[in-house]
Amino acid sequence: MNSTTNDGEKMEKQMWEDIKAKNWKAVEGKIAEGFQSVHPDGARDRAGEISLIKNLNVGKIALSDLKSTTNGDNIVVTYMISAQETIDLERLPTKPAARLSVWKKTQNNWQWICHANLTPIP
Amino acid sequence: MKPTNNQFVANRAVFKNRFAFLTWIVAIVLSWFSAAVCLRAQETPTAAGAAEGEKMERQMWADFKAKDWKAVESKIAEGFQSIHPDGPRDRAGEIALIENLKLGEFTLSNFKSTVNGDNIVVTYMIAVQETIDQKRLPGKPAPRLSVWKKGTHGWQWICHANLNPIP
Repeated sequence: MNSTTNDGEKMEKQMWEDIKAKNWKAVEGKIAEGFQSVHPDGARDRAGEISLIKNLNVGKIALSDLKSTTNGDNIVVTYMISAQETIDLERLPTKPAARLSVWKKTQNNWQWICHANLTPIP
Repeated sequence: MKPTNNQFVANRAVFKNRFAFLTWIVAIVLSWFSAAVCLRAQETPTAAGAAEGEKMERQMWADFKAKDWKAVESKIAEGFQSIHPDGPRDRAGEIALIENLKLGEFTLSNFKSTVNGDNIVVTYMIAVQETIDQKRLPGKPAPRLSVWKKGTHGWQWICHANLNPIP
C-alpha cells in the first residue's frame, strides 16, 4: 500500500537538525549499512557520506515542497533545500536544489538507506 | 614370523591413534566446510541482489530505448518519486518525462548495488545522448541513483535521482 506520510518530513528535518548540531552519534546511528548517496561529483558509500557530512558547516537551512510517499516499509522523501553550507571553507550555492532520501523501517528504528543531493559542489 | 603379543598391542595402539587422528582431520574439514556453507548462505542474497540491481537498471534503460512503455510503466511503483535538476516528479510526471525522451547511445558504468532488506540501492554513472523537448542534454557522464523494492508483483522502481543537468 502506498500513501503519503508526514514521518518522512519529520525524519528528514531531524536529520538536518542533527547535522547542523554536529550530533554525530545520532547521525551515524541513523545511516544504514549499505547506504549509498549521489552528489554531483559522484557516488559515496556510508563511510564517504559520513566523512562528507562531518566536513559540512551548515548555517541557515530552508526546506520546502516536502513530499513523502510510502512503499511497504520505505518512505521516499523529496524536497527542495536552500542551505548555507560550507565544505572545506568553500561556500556552496544557496539556490534551492532538489534532494531525495529513502528511509527504511527496521525492527528498532528508521534507517536512511540512500540520499541524492543535486546541490553543485564547486 | 608371528607377531608377538606386544607387537599386536603396539599395532593396535598405532591403528587407534591413526583412527583418532583421521577422525580429528575429518571433523576439522567438515567444520571448515560447514562454515564456508554458512558464509556462502549469508553472502548469496547480497551478491545476488547486487547483480540483480545492475541487471534491472540496464533492462530499464533498454526498455526506454525500445520505447516499451508497457514494460516501463509496469515496473514503476505507485508512490514512485524522482528528482531531476529541475525538481521532483511523481510517477505520472516521470512517465511523461521518459516518454518524451529521445535516447541515443548510452554508456553505463561504475555500478554499485547494495541490499537493504527487500530493497536494492543502485548507483552508477551514465553518459547518454538524450533529447527532451528538442533540447539536447549534456553527454558528460553524470551520476544516477535508483532504489528497487521487491514486492508481491516482482521488483518495482520506487525512486530515481538524475544528476544530468536539463538545460
